[in-house]
Amino acid sequence: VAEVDRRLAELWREASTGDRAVVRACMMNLVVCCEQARDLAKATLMVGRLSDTLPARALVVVPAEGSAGNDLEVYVSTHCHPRPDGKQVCSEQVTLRIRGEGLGLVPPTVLRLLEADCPVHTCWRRARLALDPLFEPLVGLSDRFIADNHATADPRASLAALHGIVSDPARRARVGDLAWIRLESWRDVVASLFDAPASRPWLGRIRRVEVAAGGPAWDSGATVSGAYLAGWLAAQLGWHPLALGDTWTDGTTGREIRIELRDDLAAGTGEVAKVLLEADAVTGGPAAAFEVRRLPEELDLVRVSCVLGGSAQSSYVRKLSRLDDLSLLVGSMQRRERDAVYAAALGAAVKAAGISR
Amino acid sequence: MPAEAPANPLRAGLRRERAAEPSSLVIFGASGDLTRRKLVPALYNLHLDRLLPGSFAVVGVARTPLSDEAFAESLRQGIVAHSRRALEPELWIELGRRISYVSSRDGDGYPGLAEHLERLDRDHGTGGNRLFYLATPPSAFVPIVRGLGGAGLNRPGPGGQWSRLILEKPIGTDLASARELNCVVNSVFDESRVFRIDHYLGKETVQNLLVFRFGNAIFEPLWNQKYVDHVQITVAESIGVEGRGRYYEEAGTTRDVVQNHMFQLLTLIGMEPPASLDPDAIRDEKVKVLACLRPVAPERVDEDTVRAQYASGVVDGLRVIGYREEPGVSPDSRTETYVALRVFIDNWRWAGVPFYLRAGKRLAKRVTELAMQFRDVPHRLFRQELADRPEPNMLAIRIQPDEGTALRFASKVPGPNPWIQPVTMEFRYGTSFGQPPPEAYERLLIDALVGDSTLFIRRDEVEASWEYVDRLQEAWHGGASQAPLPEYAAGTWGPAQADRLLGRDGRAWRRL
Repeated sequence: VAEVDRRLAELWREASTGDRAVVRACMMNLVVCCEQARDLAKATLMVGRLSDTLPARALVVVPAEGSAGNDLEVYVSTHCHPRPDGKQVCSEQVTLRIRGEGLGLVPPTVLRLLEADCPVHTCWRRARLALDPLFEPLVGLSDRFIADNHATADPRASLAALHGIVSDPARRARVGDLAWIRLESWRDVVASLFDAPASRPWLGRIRRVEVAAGGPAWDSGATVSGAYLAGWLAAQLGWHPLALGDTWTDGTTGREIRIELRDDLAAGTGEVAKVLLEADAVTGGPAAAFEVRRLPEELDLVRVSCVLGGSAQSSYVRKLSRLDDLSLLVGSMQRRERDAVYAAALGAAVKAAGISR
Repeated sequence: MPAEAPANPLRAGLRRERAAEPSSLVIFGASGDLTRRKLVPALYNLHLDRLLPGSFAVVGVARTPLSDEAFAESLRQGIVAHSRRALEPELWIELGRRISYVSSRDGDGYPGLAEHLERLDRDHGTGGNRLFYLATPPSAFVPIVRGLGGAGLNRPGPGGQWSRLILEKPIGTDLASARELNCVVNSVFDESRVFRIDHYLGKETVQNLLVFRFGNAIFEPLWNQKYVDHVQITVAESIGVEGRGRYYEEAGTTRDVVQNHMFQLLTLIGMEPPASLDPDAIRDEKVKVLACLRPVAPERVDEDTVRAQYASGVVDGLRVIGYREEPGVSPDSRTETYVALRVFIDNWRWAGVPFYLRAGKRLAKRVTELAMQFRDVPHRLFRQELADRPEPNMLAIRIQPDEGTALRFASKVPGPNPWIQPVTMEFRYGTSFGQPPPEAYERLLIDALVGDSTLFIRRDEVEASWEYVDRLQEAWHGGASQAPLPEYAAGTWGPAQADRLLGRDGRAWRRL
């Protein structure tokens, strides 16, 4: 580690020689944990682009090519971005290549290499969470831990692992999941159906929810996106899920709500194709159906419609934000507070799926 | 009044926690430049960001006879030319079918407009909520407001439907005319439903002033006469009067920029912490700053103020004519195109701290900035030659372009000698959050749609600022002198007199 420090100091000296002034910037520590050796190029690209907005000391953990040996190799490099005034703003990347039991050296090495007094954000790009030996130590040292449940090998187990962190008040780490963050524009459009005070009474009369989304799905046909959206509705509307794909109950009125989650084979991983909310009649109003459906052949346009008493009340097209993962990551990192809505949605989804039992 | 509906529980935690209800936006002056260049591009971007309600309609009102289709097409062209994001055909079709036009010349007047809006409520589910935007010359404000009142379009509906009014600046040309206009407006619309726009308040950096001051612990303790040496506020434009010579002859820089934009910046930088983020709590504190402004005494007007006009010169490599040669401008005009003021806020926090304000046209570049220079250290520990003395700490808040904040402080130059050099720590709005900030009109329109008046000017703010400007005008015009105003070459930073205004105090304008 002392050698890493020495090399970094040398690197900065070399970068600033002559009339080439560079500014070293560091707003945070960014730990990126990769699953395979070939993920390094992608991770390095991400760190480079991220450092333009959020300069960080990046620690990229990646398996080395070939499996022989039990060691850990460390490389240092820099990412620089020119500014309009001619100076360059640079940040550093430390790459930890692991072989075999070298994995065990990662947590103490990362801990030693962290930039003092800067928050630690961990981007988890490994296939599993709870069963991975790096998971617990890295969650323990993180201020923010961001997974992507559309890329994990066992989404149900991953949801349970994230819920374990979120529901433990002793944990320091704030948890984020790109699979949840990607749903923000869908949640926004669904919420917009009830922005008009006149439509709000139907929120308390919902009797059926249907969500169709791209897999991977587990045996009940549920997907991560479907589970999150159903969990979100349940948490925000005070429903008590009994079991996913089954009947839930309204905590206030005891009314039953049927939840149907479908794996839409035509939709890409995690992509939502449709959300339908059917509601019974309200005082002075008929039964209603509210639907948001992705337009065919259009990835970012949805048709929003409301049918009252069997006749179409309104129907219009809305655009979904389609931010790339880097923008989502930046947005997630800039959000420092605990996301109470996510915690509640995750809790409801996990409870409903029976995966915490 | 019916009880307010409970908040939408599905909005909790979303980036957009506030959402506009179904409504119609009625734009008076719909065939004008403001509508095409600013309002409709802003509406389109709000539509792109899903910020407009699903049930929404836009009604243009103007004298020109136009069909709905022709009006919509003119707006589409405005979007293509002026939107910060490209026009997407599917989304335009969606917005375009909600646009209609009413000619105020050929129609049935205001009762006809009322019927048209009722029809939209039925066809588009706009719910009886109306936002009236007066993007017209100020002379049309009173007849329109009275017309709306006469047709009952000012009244809240029986189901809690709202009716709001947006007014563009200028609100009057002096205190008397502002009061007269405000009286008419408030006789028809309650003040809580009047939204007076100063588009500066829609800029992210201006909004960030409140966060910067009251969301950080480190600045506010220094934000007073104990630590602040002086404040500079600059609103510089590189353009000239751009064909608006006749308007400018009546207005001048003081009425055009100082009374509104500059005083808004001054109040935000000078105000006390509000008790809450309630719109009136913030505006109460802003108006207190205006009430504490020391009037310019006639006998001090030459020491505390500078007026000037631009002469010919070179701007951006092009030779430009002087102000008195502009079309619509009198050859012996005494209207200022540049003004510099030394202003004092006579209260506990700011006693004795000069606020230097400068604004003008045809200056070296377009820049709006607030800069706070802190007092020097009490004792010079690091001895240096007088000329090499470290510059005092400076906090600069850039409003446009390149919105952001910079803090200058002294740092030791590496080496055996205790040499000190100023260095700057910078934050730039455009790059720090990974996305450009929205246009000011986007924020202001959505705030008016959701009924948040924080970023709009209240009646007493307008009148307090006119009171100061009226006294200033009296001090300027009270004397017998009809001598021409000093001139500055176009493309420079103003007249030498403005440098002397600060030079007498041992200070200098920032080089921007």
